[in-house]
Amino acid sequence: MKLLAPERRIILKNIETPNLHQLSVYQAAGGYQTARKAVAMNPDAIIEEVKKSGIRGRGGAGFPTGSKWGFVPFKTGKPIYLLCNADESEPGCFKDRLLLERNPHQLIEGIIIASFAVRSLKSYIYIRGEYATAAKVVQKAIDEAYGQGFLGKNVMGSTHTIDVVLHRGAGAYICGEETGLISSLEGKKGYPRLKPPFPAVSGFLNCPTVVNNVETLSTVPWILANGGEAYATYGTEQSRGTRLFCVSGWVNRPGVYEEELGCTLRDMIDGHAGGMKEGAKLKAVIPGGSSTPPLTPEEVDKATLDFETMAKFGTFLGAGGIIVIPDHFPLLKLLERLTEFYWDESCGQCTPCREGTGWLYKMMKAIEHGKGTAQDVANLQKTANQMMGVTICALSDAAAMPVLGFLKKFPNEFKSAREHT
Amino acid sequence: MKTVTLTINGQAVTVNEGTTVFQAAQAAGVFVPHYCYHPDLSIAGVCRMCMVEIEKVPRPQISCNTVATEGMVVRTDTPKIKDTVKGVLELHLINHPLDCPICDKAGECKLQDFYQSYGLYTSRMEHEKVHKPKVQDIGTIVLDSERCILCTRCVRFTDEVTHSNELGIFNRGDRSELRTYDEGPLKNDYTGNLADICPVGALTAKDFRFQQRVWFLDKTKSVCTMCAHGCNTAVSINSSTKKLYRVEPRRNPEVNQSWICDTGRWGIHSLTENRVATPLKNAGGFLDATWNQAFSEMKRAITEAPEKTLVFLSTAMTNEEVVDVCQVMFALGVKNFSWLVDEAVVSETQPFDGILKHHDLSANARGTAEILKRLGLTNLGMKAGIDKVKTQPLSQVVAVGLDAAQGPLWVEVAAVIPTTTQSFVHATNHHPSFEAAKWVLPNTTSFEKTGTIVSALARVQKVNRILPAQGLARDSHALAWGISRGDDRSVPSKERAKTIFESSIQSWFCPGEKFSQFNEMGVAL
Repeated sequence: MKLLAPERRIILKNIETPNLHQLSVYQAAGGYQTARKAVAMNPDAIIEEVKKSGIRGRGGAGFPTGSKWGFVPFKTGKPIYLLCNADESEPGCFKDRLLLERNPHQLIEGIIIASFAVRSLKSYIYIRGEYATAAKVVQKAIDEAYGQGFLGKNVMGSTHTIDVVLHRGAGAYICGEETGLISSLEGKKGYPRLKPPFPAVSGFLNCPTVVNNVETLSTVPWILANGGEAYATYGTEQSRGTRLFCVSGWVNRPGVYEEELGCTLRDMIDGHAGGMKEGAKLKAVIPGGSSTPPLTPEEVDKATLDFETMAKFGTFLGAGGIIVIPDHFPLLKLLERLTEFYWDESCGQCTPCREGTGWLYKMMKAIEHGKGTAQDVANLQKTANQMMGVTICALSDAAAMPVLGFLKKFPNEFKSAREHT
Repeated sequence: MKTVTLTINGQAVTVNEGTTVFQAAQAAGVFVPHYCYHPDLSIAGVCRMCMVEIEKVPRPQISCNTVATEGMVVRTDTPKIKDTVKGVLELHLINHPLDCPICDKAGECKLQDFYQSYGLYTSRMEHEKVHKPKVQDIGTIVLDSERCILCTRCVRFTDEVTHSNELGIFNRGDRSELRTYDEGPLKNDYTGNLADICPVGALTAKDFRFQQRVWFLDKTKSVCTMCAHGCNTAVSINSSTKKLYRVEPRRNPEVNQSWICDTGRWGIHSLTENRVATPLKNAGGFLDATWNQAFSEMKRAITEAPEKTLVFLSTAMTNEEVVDVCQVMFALGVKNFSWLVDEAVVSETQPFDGILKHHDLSANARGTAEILKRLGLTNLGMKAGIDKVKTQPLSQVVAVGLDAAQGPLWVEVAAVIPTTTQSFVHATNHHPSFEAAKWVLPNTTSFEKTGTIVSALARVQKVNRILPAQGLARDSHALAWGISRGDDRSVPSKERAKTIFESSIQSWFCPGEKFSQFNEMGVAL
């Protein structure tokens, strides 16, 4: 087993402090000082600092956060909303849950700073329905923050108003898609919306809206406290800073690890996660959550965890869900389960996704149960291709990508089906 | 307004700023396949069929939600787009049942049409299809969820047009299903439009189900005469039996967008019942008579006492009919004219439901009033006309052009006619109030005549003859001509309509319009 190197902890710095979810403990560790500093600043300067940090959204798409904030039209006369996306639902991802349950005040502080920067008076934390404990913890933290005057009217003695409302979802994957989240929050079915208009211009209640991931907002206090430049010293050219990786699967120490972007995947698996369980051989790694195409063991050896390298291997960092698959695990079973997941979660709005996800699942079911044919394998490839890039949101792509990835990188798994006519 | 110029398949087209690529393509005459787009509904962008390639944009884009910009280079004819559209179409069809042989939409179904134009592949679907409830009764419409492609046109229609919010998509993914919210029947007055806008056979009108294959139908453009709004229509009859099967809206953004109400669409059925078939003479009970007898008796009666005659003009008559009737009656010495309308509502110019329906059921009240003025005749008005019959006893009343579609306006008149007064009634359908009339003469419906009318929106539009006159029915041209001659030798209705249009209506109401090629959209008065 490889020696355990220390993590590069920025947002997880105090995560192991007992009772960190309590306001007093969080404050004792220096919490809310950055928010106090922020409300006295020029909001544009905060945006500038975040731009300098180079941080890209941690929800999966990786859009530069500073630019997103910069797009908000401040002078339309309409209220501006900041929505915190806590609908973490991608299989393989559980980092936001840790932040919500263990360090809710860091998130609230991030929300205060971000709200102030984008001139938002009201925020919603849209939390995944299944996260019952997290919802309780966050609500308590919100109440505490209100009690201290950190939220509500005259935040921290300033003239600003920042209200935060926790909203629990009902358990649909699609509500984690930012426009699906907006629809759901408005009380409608969680259908993603056409862009344009983009949420920054017309989002929640047709008002300018910023949607940020829990991890992104939780990072904001550190960036503002230490400066965007300090943050940018971590990571690589196009992947600045640190981020949380959720390692699951056949490893000795599954869990959430914070590491500098650009670290090697091997260090993550063999170092932080303690290597393969029972000395098993590695078969594949899904690097960024279930929708991201897998890596072969050879690729795992060469891979570093950053946006640009992942792109080189035809996959994505996604939301940091690293799923480690051992040699003895049937990949077809896994892929069948993934296609079932996306079939179940498709909102059904766009035809290619609605019809395609069901077809992929049917074909995978046949193949996994030994009833698949060469025609099924060929159809799997063709249908998945037909589903790429043709829908309102990325769920269709998310369903098709693992199929295409496994077909491309693990063709032997489909051998018996191919020989069956 | 600012314009932008773009090219579509190499062809330059200039459109107003804000126009979508889809609309620009339409303007350039380039057809873009689509299911969810509808010109009178909001953009849904869910069928994903209207994909185009735009230079410098990596992925195909849906043209319905992409705004055209200056210098944009758009192509719909590249191999990539053809492949994409074919692929999306295939996904529309994998779970679609092969119901075509028993589906009313067959022949005008966009799945069939686009498969012919963009598909033509062999089915790859070898697994069990998704099954959903089929024959579901939702009032005037039958819903087949298995055929539904979830384009949401119908949902948007009840949200945005009728504001009745009756339909929704329930469940998600490929279990998605269209349903009414309360599982009950549709309650709005415009349900028939749902069958029209459904691009497939998911929503079919009960009225039309299993009645007729659409390829046996001939469509004629016309205008609805069931109220004052003047919705533009297309009426279908079987090309060989000449039976009328369907009235559909014809899009006119100035009048009715793409809609008509259920009364205008299905009201025709009640009007075909109980028609007056032959001239009837009252001799202590109605007896069949001939037009010849009717004409000679009417001419004699009117000529003998024109000053004691009052002519009630139905506002269901065309402009040309009104002119014809008035001129003939005036030539015989008649001075008393009155229109037949519901005077409490005739001045309303806008629909009472904010959509299309008017309280005023007269198709041509505005034309009638205007013509009387132009001819220098006084319109007594209905109330005053009735009073005149009562107070200075007139010996005879002639009611011309009554149409059951206009409602039983004659009832009010009949109720006050003294027994000493003899009346001649020219009407499409029987009504108990005709009992006291001396003569009841068969009139043609608006489906059986040609001429112009003026709607409540002050729009001159042309009604076209779709069916031959039923029984011995004659329009008001024939009636006027017959009365003026006093016998039943040839009655040249068609020629008279055209002649009157060209000699007066055209210059009064719509200069430059031709009778035979009247502007299909109508013209503002």
